[in-house]
Amino acid sequence: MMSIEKNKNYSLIKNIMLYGIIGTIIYSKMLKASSSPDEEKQFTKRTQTATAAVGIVTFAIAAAVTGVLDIFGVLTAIVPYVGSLYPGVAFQVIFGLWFGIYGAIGSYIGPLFAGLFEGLSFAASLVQKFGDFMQSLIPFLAFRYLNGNPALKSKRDWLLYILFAFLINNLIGGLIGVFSVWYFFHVPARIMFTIGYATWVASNWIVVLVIGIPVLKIVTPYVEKTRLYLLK
Amino acid sequence: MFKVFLTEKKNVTIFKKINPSAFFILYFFLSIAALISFNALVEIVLLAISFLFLLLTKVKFQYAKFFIIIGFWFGAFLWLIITFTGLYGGHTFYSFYLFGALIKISYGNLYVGFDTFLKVLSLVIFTAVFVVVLDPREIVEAFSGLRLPYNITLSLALMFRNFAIFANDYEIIVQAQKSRALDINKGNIFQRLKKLLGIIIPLVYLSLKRADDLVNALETKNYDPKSKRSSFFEYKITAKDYFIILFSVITFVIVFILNYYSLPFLNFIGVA
Repeated sequence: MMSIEKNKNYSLIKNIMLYGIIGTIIYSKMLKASSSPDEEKQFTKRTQTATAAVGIVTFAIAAAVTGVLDIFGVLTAIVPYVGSLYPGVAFQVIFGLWFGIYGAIGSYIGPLFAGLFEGLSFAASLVQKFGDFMQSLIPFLAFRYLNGNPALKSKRDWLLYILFAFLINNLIGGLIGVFSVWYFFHVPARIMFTIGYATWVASNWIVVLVIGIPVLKIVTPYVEKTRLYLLK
Repeated sequence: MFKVFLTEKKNVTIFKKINPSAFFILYFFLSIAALISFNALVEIVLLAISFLFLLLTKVKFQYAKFFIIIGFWFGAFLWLIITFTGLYGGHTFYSFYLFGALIKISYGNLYVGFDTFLKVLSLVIFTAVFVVVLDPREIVEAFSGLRLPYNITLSLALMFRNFAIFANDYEIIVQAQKSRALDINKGNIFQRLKKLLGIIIPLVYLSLKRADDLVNALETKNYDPKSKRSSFFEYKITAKDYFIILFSVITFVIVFILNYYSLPFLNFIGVA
């Protein structure tokens, strides 16, 4: 008796599921049929326009801000081309976290052109500013794939920030930056990889802590409401 | 500085007759030549060329001096560091102990230091020429002439435009904060950075607001990254542009060959 009832229940569930799926397919087909191909095209075009526009603008803003701050940073150099106070690094991290890959690329291209003003040639600038790119890219990838929140609300966000936006990115970026000055300008390795590297990393750490954290905490809630927020 | 160079009305010079793409190639190859050369004589010739170009741009000294000062500053800085801490060989004509470390001043150190000084100076002057001659629109035109996608050239155009706008905003906010008695030059590094926050946060808000407006403007005009564009300004490549490109490549090749032939001399003074 029980087994017959069970079978009846199963067949009922089966039928509901089957009709549900068929119904959904028919409904979606009807919906598709009701919207003309032109409308669909327009919708796709609008979405593409929005994405391209946001990407271009976020890239331009990131590049302009980091580029201008790069010049101010290099003017404080103790070791050539290694700023002792470089506020731009905080923005490289911040823009990477807010604007995603567009922010990271902007943080590369802006300082790349600023490097020309500082007397780095295009080639030397390409290599040295790749360090800046890494300083932006690493936090972006960490927050994107480990689901961090740039507003730094939980302990996990703080841990991600300390590990990837404070420690690892600056260690890697500094190594690339210092290597380029050593390689292109023949500055002795014992100066560049000791004092130069220490200056780069220590000054970046201070800036990322003192400027990066307050800006992220204060401004992220505002940015999240705009279309410019591209981390997710 | 950005404001001066990006919004200043450019002088009409012989460089204005050159296609922006050809001019960019000229700048690119000459700066690479200056970068890879380790022959001081070649560096002197390249420096002379860079100064000649700077004179031909007819730029006012008050603008050019910024670049010359930066070039001298970084060049001399590098020269000093290499002279006192370099490990290049050659005859050591002076040595002394500093904090327990032996400092040797050799011909090799002096030579490489001097070469680097010339290198940095000529690189800065070439950049000054590039920035003074081409305005942001022409820089973008130079890239689009090199067949870069329109998305990228538009991004670069916006970037150059924002350089000037951002620098202007920065100045205005600094002045506003100064009038409220904020002095960012006093205090230790932490205090200075904390004071800098008073400038940076309004600056970020302003930039974000401007970015949002810009996105709206692009969307309103139905910006389509895939559509074909026409330009009001058209730059054609003429015979003299090809000559400029050829000159750039030949200079680069000559410097490369001279590097090879300088090796015995560098061996002799103990650099190589």
